[in-house]
Amino acid sequence: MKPRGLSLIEMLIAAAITGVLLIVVTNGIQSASSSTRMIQTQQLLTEDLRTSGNLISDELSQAYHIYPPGAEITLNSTSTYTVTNFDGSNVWTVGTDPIIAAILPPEDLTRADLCATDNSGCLRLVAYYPLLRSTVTASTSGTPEFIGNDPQNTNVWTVFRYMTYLSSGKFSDASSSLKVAAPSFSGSRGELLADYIQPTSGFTVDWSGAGGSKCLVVTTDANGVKSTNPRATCPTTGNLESVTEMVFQLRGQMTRGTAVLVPGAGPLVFRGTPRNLGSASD
Amino acid sequence: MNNKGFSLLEVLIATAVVGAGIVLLGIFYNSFKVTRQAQIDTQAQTFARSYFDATRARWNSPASFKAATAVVTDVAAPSGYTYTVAPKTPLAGTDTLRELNLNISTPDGRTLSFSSSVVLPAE
Repeated sequence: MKPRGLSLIEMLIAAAITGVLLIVVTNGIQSASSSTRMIQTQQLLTEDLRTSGNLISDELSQAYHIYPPGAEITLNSTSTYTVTNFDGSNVWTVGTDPIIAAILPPEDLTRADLCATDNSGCLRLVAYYPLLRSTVTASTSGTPEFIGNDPQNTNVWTVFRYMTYLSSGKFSDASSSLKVAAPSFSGSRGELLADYIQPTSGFTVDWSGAGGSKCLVVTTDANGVKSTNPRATCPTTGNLESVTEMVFQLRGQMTRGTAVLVPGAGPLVFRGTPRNLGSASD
Repeated sequence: MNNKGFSLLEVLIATAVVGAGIVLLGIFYNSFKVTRQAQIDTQAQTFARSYFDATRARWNSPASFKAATAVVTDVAAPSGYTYTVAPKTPLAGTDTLRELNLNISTPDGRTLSFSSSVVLPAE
């Protein structure tokens, strides 16, 4: 056989085949590394959701009072983006808006009489509610709180936690100015708790599902003995009762090309079950 | 052009390339599987906590604790999950401590076991 080299056609075909192969291989490597990153991100997001849910659950389990559906909670003022509802107001209606609001005991119960001079002796109001991520980025641009623009994920939610110290250290079950249908809280601000929450269904609060919420009536008899009677359904207006059991769900969403829900199989289900109801000092 | 088939070297190289591809695919498939499994575990753990929270809420006074004759079963599990609960000893009004074993069946066919104890609330 006589070595005659390669013809131009052969060379061109070989070059074309090599080119196609190179493209396929680079794409493969790129998508492999991006899917590895995506998997790590999903794990981090799952862990974030779980930590946030556990924090909310932990705080609700100490609560003296969880506001029932129908309560209209006013947080700070509309000038603070961290408390602004989707309609632009700073009023959140429990049951209609996805918000959980509760009165927590003082951080230090032994200082409950010293609330006027020491915040650690004061009752606390906490609230958890969603905010649009795009609102957060637009409002914090250029500040140290800026969480970074993410053009693919402008529609996702974040969850915020609002906490403010109240002016008293004692909570009264029988008649508390806090157990009203439209309480208003001033000062303080919301802080970011969780990012990349699926819009609409990523943070839901269920006050009535099967085995879901119940309201508690605390009564004191003539001898000063307190008794607690759970009620199967929470009245929706003008009541003073705390919720005894409620369910909330968390699920994340992140888009990198395609939208991925975290966890894939369904949302994380948590419960708010206050154990201090009826044990508050009168 | 000769027409005598592949040389040993060619076959070896081809095998190595195919083998490397299969190994890479296996690694990716595995990491996807592990991620899914971890997410299912997290969901199950969250539900377990949620279940025990619900039980403590129902049994949060001495009266309701003593009156309970059966474990709580109306706590809705996430879709795809089912669960069974068995107390270590049958519930009795004289109990001061109840140990509950919770078995959760996951969508991928595994069963995860959790247990927790509920103490008689103080008067």
